Amino acid sequence: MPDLEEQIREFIDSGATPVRAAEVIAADQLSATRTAAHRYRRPPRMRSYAFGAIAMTTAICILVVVLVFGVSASKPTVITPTRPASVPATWQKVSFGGLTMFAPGNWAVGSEQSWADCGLTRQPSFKDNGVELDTGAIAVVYHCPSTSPTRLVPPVNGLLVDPGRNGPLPNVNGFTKRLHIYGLWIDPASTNYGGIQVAAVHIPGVNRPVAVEIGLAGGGKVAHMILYSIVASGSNPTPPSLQSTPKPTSS
Amino acid sequence: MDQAREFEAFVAEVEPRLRRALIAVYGFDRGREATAEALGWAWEHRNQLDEVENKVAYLFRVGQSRTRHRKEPVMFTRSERADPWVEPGLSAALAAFSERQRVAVVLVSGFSWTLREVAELTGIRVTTVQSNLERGLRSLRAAMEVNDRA
Repeated sequence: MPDLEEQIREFIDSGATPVRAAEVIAADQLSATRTAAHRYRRPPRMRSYAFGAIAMTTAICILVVVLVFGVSASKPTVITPTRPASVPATWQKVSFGGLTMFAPGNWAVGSEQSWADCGLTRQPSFKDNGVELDTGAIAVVYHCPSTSPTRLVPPVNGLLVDPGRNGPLPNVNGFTKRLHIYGLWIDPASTNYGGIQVAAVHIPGVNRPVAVEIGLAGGGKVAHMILYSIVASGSNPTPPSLQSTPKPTSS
Repeated sequence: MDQAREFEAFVAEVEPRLRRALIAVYGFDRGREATAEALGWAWEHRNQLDEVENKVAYLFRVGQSRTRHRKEPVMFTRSERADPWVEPGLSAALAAFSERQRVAVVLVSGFSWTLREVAELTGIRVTTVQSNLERGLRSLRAAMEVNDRA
């Protein structure tokens, strides 16, 4: 059997025939012919133009509404709590990126626009004993901590939420059994990267999952309470009791 | 006719790298289709393309933008051509990777692209490509039970 590199080469090259110039040019000519024929057959109709203009205007209005609500949903806000019974009275309610959850009240809440990718074992954005709300809008070049990639960080306390395009999820190697909590699908990473549980939270109707990272200090009890307090913003489900639900992976 | 000949030479130069990159992202069928779309765009806009410095990277994005709306899983199903001499688990292992990991593994490891070339193609940092490559190769070796020291 050839070596791995050779196998990859052979596998990729054997799967599809090359695209030839003649094929491209012929397709272009065919398309041009069809377009010309179509244009010839279609008489100008003012009514259809008016209909098109109305449809376009409606679409733009819908787009504006979606954008306005989408942007406002991503702004970090800390709200006066209406907490589930399982959450201590001292905890604060945090809403961000379409999600609402609870975290210890003495954790400082910070916000960030950028994501510095240093791998999952070296996370400059994750703050100990803090809640970091990161839009993940910008990927920044960061001088990553010089910790060896193989040395895992000790379990810490903390919470990070990142609904943006730049975040920790692309670095996750695999996910473990999917959880279904309050109508949300949650995919916890199969590895906890030493001290931080990463999870992809899927909000119904939203394409991109929200990255949620929770520190596993203290045996993961706080992390468990945070995880099982996550709901989609705007929903008001009844929380399950903590004893009846599995803990996030902490191996 | 001169334009057609010039385009043939252009396709001969660009197509293999473009096709491999797009197949790495989308699998065989959609990858080839995206390549054809990108080259179709190149033919339509051949005068503008002269000013583009990295044509493969540019057309890669054209191919992506013309197929991005289709949310289908990456498929590496066998073609009708003769089976290549590869481990049976390779297809499933590659399909299970993240897109970035797959692109890094296929292009760097399989086709000797440099990390910088992949970074320019995908618009991400060289260090991220390297990290994706290392993770991907580790997973691939584990999936195919290849020993690092072998």
